[in-house]
Amino acid sequence: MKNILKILLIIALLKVTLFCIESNSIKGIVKDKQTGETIPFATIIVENTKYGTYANTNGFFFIKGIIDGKFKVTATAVGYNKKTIEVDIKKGETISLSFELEPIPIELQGVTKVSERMKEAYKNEISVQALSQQELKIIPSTSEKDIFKLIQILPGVSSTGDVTSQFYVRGGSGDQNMILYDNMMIYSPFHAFGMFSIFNTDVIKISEMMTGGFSPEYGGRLSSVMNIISKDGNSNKYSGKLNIGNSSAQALVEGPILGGSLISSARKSYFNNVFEKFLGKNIPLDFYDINSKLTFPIANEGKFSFSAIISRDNINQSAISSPNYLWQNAAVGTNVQVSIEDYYLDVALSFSFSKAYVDYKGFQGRQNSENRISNIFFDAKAESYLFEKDILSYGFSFILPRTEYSFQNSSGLVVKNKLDQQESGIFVKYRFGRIEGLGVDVGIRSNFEFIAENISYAFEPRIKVTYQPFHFATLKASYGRYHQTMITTSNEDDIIPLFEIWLPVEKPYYPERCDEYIGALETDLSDNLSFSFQGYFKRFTNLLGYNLKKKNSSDPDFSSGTGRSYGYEFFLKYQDESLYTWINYTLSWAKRKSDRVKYSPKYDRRHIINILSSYRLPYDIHFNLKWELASGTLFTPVLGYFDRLDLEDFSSNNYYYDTGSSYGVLGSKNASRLPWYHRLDIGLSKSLTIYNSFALNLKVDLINLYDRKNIFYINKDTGEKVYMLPFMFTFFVGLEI
Amino acid sequence: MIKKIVSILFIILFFTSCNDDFDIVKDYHEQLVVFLVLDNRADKQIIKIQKLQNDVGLNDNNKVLKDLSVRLIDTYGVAHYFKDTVLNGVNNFNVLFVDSLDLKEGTYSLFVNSGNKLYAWSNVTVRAPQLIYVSSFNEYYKINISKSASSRGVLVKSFVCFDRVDNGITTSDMMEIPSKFSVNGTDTTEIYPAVEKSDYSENKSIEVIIGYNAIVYTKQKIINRYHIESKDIKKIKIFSFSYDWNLYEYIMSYKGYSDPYSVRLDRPNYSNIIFGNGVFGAIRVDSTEIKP
Repeated sequence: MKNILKILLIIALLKVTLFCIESNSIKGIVKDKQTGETIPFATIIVENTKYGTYANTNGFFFIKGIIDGKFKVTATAVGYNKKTIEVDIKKGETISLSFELEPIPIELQGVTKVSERMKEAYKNEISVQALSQQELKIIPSTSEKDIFKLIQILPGVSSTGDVTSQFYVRGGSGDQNMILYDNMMIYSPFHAFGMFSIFNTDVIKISEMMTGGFSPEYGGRLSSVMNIISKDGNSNKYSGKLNIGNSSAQALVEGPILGGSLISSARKSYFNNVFEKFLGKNIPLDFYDINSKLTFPIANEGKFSFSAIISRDNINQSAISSPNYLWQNAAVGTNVQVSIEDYYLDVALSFSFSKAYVDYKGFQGRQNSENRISNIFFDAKAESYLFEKDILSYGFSFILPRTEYSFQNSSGLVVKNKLDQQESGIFVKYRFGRIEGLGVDVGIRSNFEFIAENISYAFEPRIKVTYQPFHFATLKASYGRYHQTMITTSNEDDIIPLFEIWLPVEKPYYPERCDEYIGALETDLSDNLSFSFQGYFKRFTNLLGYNLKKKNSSDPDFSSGTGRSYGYEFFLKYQDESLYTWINYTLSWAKRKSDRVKYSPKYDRRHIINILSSYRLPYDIHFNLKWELASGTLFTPVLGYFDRLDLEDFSSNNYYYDTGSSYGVLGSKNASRLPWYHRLDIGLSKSLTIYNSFALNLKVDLINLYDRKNIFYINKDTGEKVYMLPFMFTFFVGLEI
Repeated sequence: MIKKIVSILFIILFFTSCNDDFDIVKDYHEQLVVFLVLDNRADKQIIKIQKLQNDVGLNDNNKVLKDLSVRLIDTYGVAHYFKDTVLNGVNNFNVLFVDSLDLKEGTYSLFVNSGNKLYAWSNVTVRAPQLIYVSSFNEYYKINISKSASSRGVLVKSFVCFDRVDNGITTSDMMEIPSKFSVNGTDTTEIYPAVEKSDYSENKSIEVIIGYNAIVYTKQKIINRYHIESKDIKKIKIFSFSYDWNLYEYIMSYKGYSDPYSVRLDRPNYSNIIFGNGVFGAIRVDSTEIKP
């Protein structure tokens, strides 16, 4: 801890002595005039000059290096009227501005232009997709609007079925995705069976999905970072929403409180018939979740917020032989964001907890199973604005996870364990942006892991270069090294993992590592049509997986392997006043080698095409369409069946009379591929203003329109085929006040 | 525009509504499935044979073979031919036997043919008898077993032997003594010995403890269940099961890595049958008795 503070002090002093040249600055915040909500990615320009920038996800902006004089500063954000403020700036002065923009109610234009605005704001980033609330609205949904369902159709992302929201990014496994919700680390962000996430889409302001090229402030995962930022809530007036879907009801309230704002949303399931269609059998599944946030403005364009998220899923079965299940998530966190002089500070402290419990009701003497992970996460980072667009960022983080599990294994023995880990990271990054058309991010991150008196150290260089040779085209490249010290023990062959245990990587194993290389081209083919291409190569080392050669109980469960993945992603987007469409195609390979066995993970889908479209029909009705086409997932084929005998007990001659049970002899691991997956979903949505500020939102969706029988899995012992979702009609009614 | 949308949907529907015919079985070849465990106690060595199937749930007639020829070459090179027989309720296997086989320490080879089409073979090593020593202490018996060097898995089970009367007929019975037990009110937990790995290379002794409290617990259980008197409890019998490498590996794969610290859920397969499936193993069972 002392060493980390010393290093940070040196970085700060370095910054002061080397870069602190006195210059004029304008900083401030951009807000929605009606709700007081900050507006991410608004454009701020100093008119008739070269100076300009974009607001960050918290609506904050900083422009440095402005000459003395009187200027007009204009903030624009699509969906809002622009606003101009006159300033008279003098030598060495920093002026603070607060823009309150009046919203214009245009539904589809919102989708189109918000995404365009994001594209500009992320022009120095690589492999980042920012998803807005508006994009979530147009995606046809089976039961719940879900951020993870939108993520699953992004380029480079694959999934293994309709039923699960688990996603796999660029050949990485499911546990290699970091999920941050208001800077709280969420380990198990799914409702039961992973059907959808615990995040209520109505409270989400913006979601950043990073499929590669992570900045050094992010560490601890190899394949993706999903950063979800929730709304602050309406600080000017009370408002609410009531939504009724075919499986759950949801209420949202927001309004001013104690000089700040509150937003709170609660969702509760009430129908089981949808789950029946999902899972093929009637399961008494019941869930709820609550997402809340309190935000208070503080001096210097800052804010203090307190977030909480709670979710609980139950399956209570009446039969004594059928176990009851419980899944629980809880997370609380505080966040302070403040601007001091030319620094922007972001400090977060959170506690998150996740638990899974199986109650066997004492049936046949079986012990109950339980696993839980609790985590304290502290993260502090600072951005320092230097010459014009140069930015120095640095910070540190502490992660203190505790894992506990207890279960009875197949031989009847109870396995219990409790593991504590400490992980800390420190990073520094320099963004070089003073040359027009060229951006270079150079950074480094160091991680220290302490577990069972062992210390491991990891060093992670990161570099990102963007170059714009023409105004319509940008070339991008990045290299990054990432380490991961927490993994799940879920078996890749489990169809739906019900009991996933997070474990720290202990000696004799080393933290998992990934070296990633990305190259990209982004181009605007016309005012309405844009195209991007990305190619990536990832090399994995120390990948922990099940020991494929394990024969004896004394043999280790895990073995360390290697892997690589590579692929190409094509993304075409068209947008005009009435049509918003994107089509992406991913061609990818993922390979693993463990114990001299070479195989591809089951989510290695060679080709994936996704089409998402929204068209505005007359009477402001929106027609939405989603079509997915993908190579089938991999599976291990069966070479044949026989009746397998249990030969353990020779106490009597009973084994002679054993007729055995059906058993499929497996071929090479994941050597076969299921048939092509494809599914078409369409829907209509309409917003009606009933009376003054009362709005009614209606949405109907037809899922799997042509009732494609996509295979979910095949029982290897019985040969039974289980299919994914059949044709479904879903509806959604929302009342907004 | 609406017409265009409808047309596109119609085309998509037309081309995509077909569903693929798909089979999970790939590269199927007919093979023999063989189960034979040479058991030093058995009067007849029983072999069960089946055909590998290309689908599940096939009729038993599709699982058995014709023209089977099975021979076992003993450690002296003498061939023993198996004959057809029938086991009550076992219709999904061909059942054959060979009798009067005096198992000796050494390697045995098995050859199975079905006509000229299918064949499979394998070897197994039969071990020498094990010596069992019992020592009595204040609170327990200590059992020492001199294990064969080639033994891979060992299981020591102890039983309380007793006589019980059913409908006027006296029959001898046994109840296994748990290696561990706990009683909490009406809640009882019993753990019985499982097959344990023994070192392949060393010829060393195995030590097992049988607590007097476990014997008393079992005796009381017998008395409560069968309403017999203490005098009907005759003796304690201790069995040592020594599994050869192949049988041990097969059992471990069948149980699916069930060890105390395992968290894996997958289930592997093990077979030592060349050009086939199943297992050809050997078990050496020795026993001794003590008076309680």
